[in-house]
Amino acid sequence: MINKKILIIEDEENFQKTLSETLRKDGFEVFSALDGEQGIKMVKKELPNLVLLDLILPKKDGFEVLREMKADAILGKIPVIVLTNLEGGQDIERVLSLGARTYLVKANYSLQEVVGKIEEIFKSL
Amino acid sequence: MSIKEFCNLNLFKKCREYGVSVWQCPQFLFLIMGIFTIIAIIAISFIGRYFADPVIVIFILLGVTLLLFIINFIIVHSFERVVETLKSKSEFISIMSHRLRTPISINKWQLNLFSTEENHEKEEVDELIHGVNEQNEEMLRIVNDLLEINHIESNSIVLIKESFSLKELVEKITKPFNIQVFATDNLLNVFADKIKIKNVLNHIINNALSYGSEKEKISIDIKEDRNKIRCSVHDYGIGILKEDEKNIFRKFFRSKSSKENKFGGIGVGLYISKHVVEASGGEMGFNSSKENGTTFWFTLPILKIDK
Repeated sequence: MINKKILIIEDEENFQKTLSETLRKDGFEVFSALDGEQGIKMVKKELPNLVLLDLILPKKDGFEVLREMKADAILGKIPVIVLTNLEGGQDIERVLSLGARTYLVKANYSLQEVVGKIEEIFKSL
Repeated sequence: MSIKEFCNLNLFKKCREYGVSVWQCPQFLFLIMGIFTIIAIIAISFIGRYFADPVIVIFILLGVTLLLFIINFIIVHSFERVVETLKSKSEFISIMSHRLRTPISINKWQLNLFSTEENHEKEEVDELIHGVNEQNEEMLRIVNDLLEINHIESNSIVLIKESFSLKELVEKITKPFNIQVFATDNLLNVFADKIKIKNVLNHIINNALSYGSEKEKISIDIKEDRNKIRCSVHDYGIGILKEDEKNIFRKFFRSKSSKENKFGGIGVGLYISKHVVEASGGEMGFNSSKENGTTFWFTLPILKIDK
């Protein structure tokens, strides 16, 4: 069986590390990008099965990454989970209207719950 | 409003709680308008009695109406000020809570990961302790910033002053960074809050390390300047944009370059530093250009020994 590929676009290295380690243990192939620009490049290069996207990112923010992905016919089909600590009503509405699958606030979810959400999305595909 | 509340109504206290002066405080202005309206009614009826000419009475009425209009305008404006103050408080809570969420979530996830594994190696335990400790320090820094801002805004900065050598403090802070420190000989001790000045230095040096293009070129000068000790931290970085200069010491201000490069922080360090230095009896400022980088400087009073 081919492992599912997940790209994490996250600038905080501690989040990046704990999340990658957990996902690798669960059998996913994990790639990571530390800013929005690098994130878009990696999406194009690796064509992951799912993207975990932070919103506050250097160089290009998460909203812009999401907009660019959804404007592309192929990249637009990749499901995106927004994983952030921003929690404004407007932010949630904005990312969902831009086409994100779901919006998770890091502080409110454990690592296992994040993995659970990812598996849920893969099952629904 | 109950009678008890009405009797306890202390206008000046209320205005202080709103964080505005009495002339910007709606309650006080309402009182003034009430008094003015009563005086105006009595005066007009008095004038109407003795000056039968209706033209004069009409002009006086027009004048009084204009004055009432102006007072009303000031009252509406004062409400705006109160709303702005509340808005800035709510913005403050929102920014600080978001900033606190990062270290809290990092700790949460690090502990999550650790608890899912068994038979930990000593190195893993050490790494976890180091990580949790680091995030705790970050939380402590945020909470300290929060308290300091609160003290600044209520004009109650607490300074525990002592005599210390600014040169020694600078050398201690810069030791891990290989920063050159130039200090004139036989410098006198400064008289200030050592912990708070250490935070000021940490903030300016961290800024220089983040924005400076060549880290090894950061230099610090310490010298006596008009009965004060002046400390200047110089970097050869990208400089401060002209349009950002006026906002550099404003609370929550972050320059365009800091956001683009995600240098961290939420823009309270320089705001706090300037207030701490000024409350200590010193001054703080900067010079910056694209070609020569940026110099942040501050002065502190010298310890005066009474003989």
